[in-house]
Amino acid sequence: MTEIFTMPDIGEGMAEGDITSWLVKVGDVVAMDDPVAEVQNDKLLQEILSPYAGKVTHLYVDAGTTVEVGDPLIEFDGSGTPDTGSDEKTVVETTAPSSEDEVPLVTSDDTTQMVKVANGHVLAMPSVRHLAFEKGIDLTTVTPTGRHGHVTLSDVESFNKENVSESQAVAPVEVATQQGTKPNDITPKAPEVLHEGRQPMTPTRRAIAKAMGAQNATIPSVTNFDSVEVSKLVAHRSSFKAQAQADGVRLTYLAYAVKALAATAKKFPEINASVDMDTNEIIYHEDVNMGIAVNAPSGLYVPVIMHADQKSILTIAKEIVELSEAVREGSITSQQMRGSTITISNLGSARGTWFTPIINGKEVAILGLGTIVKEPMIDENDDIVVGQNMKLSLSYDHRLIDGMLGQAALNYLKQLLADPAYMLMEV
Amino acid sequence: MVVGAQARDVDTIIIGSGPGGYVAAIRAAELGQKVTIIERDEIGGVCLNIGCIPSKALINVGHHYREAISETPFGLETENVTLDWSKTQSWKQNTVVNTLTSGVKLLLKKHHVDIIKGEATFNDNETVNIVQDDGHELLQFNNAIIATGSRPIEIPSMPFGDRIIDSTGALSLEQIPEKLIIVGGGVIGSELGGVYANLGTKVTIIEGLDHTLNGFDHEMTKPVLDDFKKQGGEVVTSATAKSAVQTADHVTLNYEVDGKEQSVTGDYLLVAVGRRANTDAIGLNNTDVKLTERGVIDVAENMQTRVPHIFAIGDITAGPQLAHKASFQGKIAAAAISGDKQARDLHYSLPAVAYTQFELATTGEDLETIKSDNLEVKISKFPFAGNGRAISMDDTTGFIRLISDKKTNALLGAQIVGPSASDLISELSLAIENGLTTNDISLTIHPHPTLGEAIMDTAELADGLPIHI
Ligand SMILES: Cc1cc2nc3c(=O)[nH]c(=O)nc-3n(C[C@H](O)[C@H](O)[C@H](O)COP(=O)(O)OP(=O)(O)OC[C@H]3O[C@@H](n4cnc5c(N)ncnc54)[C@H](O)[C@@H]3O)c2cc1C
Repeated sequence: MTEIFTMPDIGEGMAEGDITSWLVKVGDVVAMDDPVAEVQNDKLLQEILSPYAGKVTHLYVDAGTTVEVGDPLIEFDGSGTPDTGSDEKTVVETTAPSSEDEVPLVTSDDTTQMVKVANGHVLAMPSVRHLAFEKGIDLTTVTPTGRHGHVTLSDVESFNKENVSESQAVAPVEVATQQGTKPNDITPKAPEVLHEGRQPMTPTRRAIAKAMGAQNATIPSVTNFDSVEVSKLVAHRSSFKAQAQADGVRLTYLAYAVKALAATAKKFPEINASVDMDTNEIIYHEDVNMGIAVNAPSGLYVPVIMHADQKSILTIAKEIVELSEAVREGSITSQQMRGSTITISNLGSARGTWFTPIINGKEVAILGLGTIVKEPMIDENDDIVVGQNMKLSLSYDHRLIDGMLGQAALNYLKQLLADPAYMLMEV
Repeated sequence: MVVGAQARDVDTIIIGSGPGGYVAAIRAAELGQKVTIIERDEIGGVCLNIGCIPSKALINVGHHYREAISETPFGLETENVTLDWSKTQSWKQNTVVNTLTSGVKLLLKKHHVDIIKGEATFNDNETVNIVQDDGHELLQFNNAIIATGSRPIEIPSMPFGDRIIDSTGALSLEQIPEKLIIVGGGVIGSELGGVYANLGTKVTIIEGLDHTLNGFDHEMTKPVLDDFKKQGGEVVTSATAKSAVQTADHVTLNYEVDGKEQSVTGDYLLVAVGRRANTDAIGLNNTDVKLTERGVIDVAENMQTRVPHIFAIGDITAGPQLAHKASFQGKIAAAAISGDKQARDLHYSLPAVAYTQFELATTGEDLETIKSDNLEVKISKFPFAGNGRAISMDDTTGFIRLISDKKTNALLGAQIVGPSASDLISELSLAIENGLTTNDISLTIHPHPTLGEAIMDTAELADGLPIHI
């Protein structure tokens, strides 16, 4: 009987790996659990073992090839034993007590790949599909921890609080989370935190770790630090804050920054783009959809303000409040976290100054917003006066954006932030 | 609205009391609605009165009769078998149908559902007019569920009459006919043809397509057709029924096949060419409810029509006309009306069954879809001939076929031909709905000796570790 061994997921949610060398060749007879190949993924080099016993009749790829999980590797002729539940794939799943805000402890070294079957169905029980529907969660975005890649009830239950898709994780804000909130808030009633020994990462931490690792490994990014004197902006905000408040809107500096960055993205389309190294193409995005990194007790999320370039500052301010609340309440939907083309990460509220934001998803630029600090500065009469300086950190993908361009965009952004009147003229 | 007529305010109305309507009524009442159900004929709709239930009763009689007059391999001999057909009819009507319909009436009563006998038509988006034997009544409703079902399609050149009958007529023939002609070899035509073939009638099926039992593949239908022919049945496919002439005691059907005119004469002509949704005479034109091009009501996933407080379920919505589909949708509509914003039809598999001599059942993907959609699947098939229980029942025709995802082994579809296919298919629907793999099935202990074990055997086959084959 012919059996086909497909690329297993040997690591935490590994999507692909390089076959560095074959340990078998066509014609070899192997026993179950014999090593058949050496595979390298982002983190480790590992031997993979055969789930079948029999004669190798075909090797699908050459050594050195990158293979996606699930792609065929070896064809066997022999007594097949299907690749299910072999030892190294044991799933330990413990469901936490049912209380709403408790985070289930899920430890799994099984697949974290979404498993969709041939006809497009997601492996999930009807009750799970209904819960996902109820919570507005697209099941295809949930990391499954169940047997054979099933999305379980607790995967969906903990999705809002626990899950963050790779492209939505932005590390620097996590720092803000830790600085700005009590440690208890970071993992409410989560599995007991051990201070020594090993502790499995939560799915969120794992997703962030993976995303950050991948972004850092693939994107040669540069961060330009700068600061801008924003007395006029502070005055502008002060004079409109009360009025906005009366309209039920909390006017924040972040709203101005979104508007200014959107305008900058319009002027410098290179920062509102994506790089496709497979085709050597640059994808310029028509819309400016601004990701806003928001931290919640369970992790960080990047909801998106769609068409930020076409919205007023008040509308943006309102949306920021709504989206942040949705994140904190756990009612944010995956739909609301999709489609960003450029991102802002705000450490200002946590009194952060400069930092090196890591680029989000398939984007090429991210603006880190620091706090506004009163600092001595020299005015046009050479007098030392008190200035209000906002700290800016712009990280960009050097494959697409060179230093000069990065700084030019930053300068323009500064101009807009320095004088809100400018925004009126330019945006 | 009729001038001067005063509409009575009601909460939720349900029009039609078939498996869609009565189930929706009970569920809505369970969820706190004050429900009024309107039925112009009999509680239970087509399914209980003139459809699924009475047809299965007669199918059962056909099986028993055939068994009684057939030689058995195990030495049972019966002589002088007779069938009192009028007793059959009375049992079917009084015991089977009436037990069920009065049971449904009781359930409705238990849930304080008001039953109004009459024919409802919409006056506008908020009111229905109900024509009763002795007058009419106007109801102003907050929510409505339309569940008016379907009726047999009549071919103009062969209008229903004494000798040209629909399925209802075929279920209540006063005598077992000697010769029965059936136009339409779909599930209803084939099931009823099977009943009479088993009772000794010479049955001729005239079918327009090049195959009968549409929806089931050739491999599945072959044993059924072979048996039907063994019983003296005749099937003419790719044939067009042209016209029919009835006399006092016979009917002659003219049809064309291969460009040639032919005719066949029988005692009755059953026209079973499909069913038309009852959407035409219920005043939908006075509402903002929209129909699709195919004449069924356009509904969202929660069964809502274009009018937010009017829902539609069952045969009058798109998809196969099946009682269990109607009931499933009825529960969704009831939940939606009761304020469940999440109520949705999220099903993966809709099983379908034909109660032919060898039962046919399918759920999820079938051979046609895997071919047309180029799905990467694994197919495993296990014959009932390898199943101990089937052998002990002398009922070994048929097989179980599982279609599973090539990569994950998740079950995507299944077909069964043979004993208890109609009951066995539920396990496989459950498996599909829950994303179970063939391995999950083979790891589930199945009692021995049962027909269900054959499902386990088929799953083991898919896993590459078969025992019984
Ligand atoms: C012979 C036969 C065998 C069948 N066998 C099977 C089977 O084995 N399995 C299966 O799943 N399906 C079977 N079906 C199909 C099944 O009967 C239908 O799919 C099912 O009954 C549809 O349910 P429903 O609730 O939509 O409507 P129906 O059962 O058609 O009920 C609709 C009801 O609405 C009433 N009504 C219509 N208009 C009005 C109005 N204006 N005012 C008041 N009342 C109105 C009608 O009188 C009727 O009682 C069979 C059908 C037939 C004819």
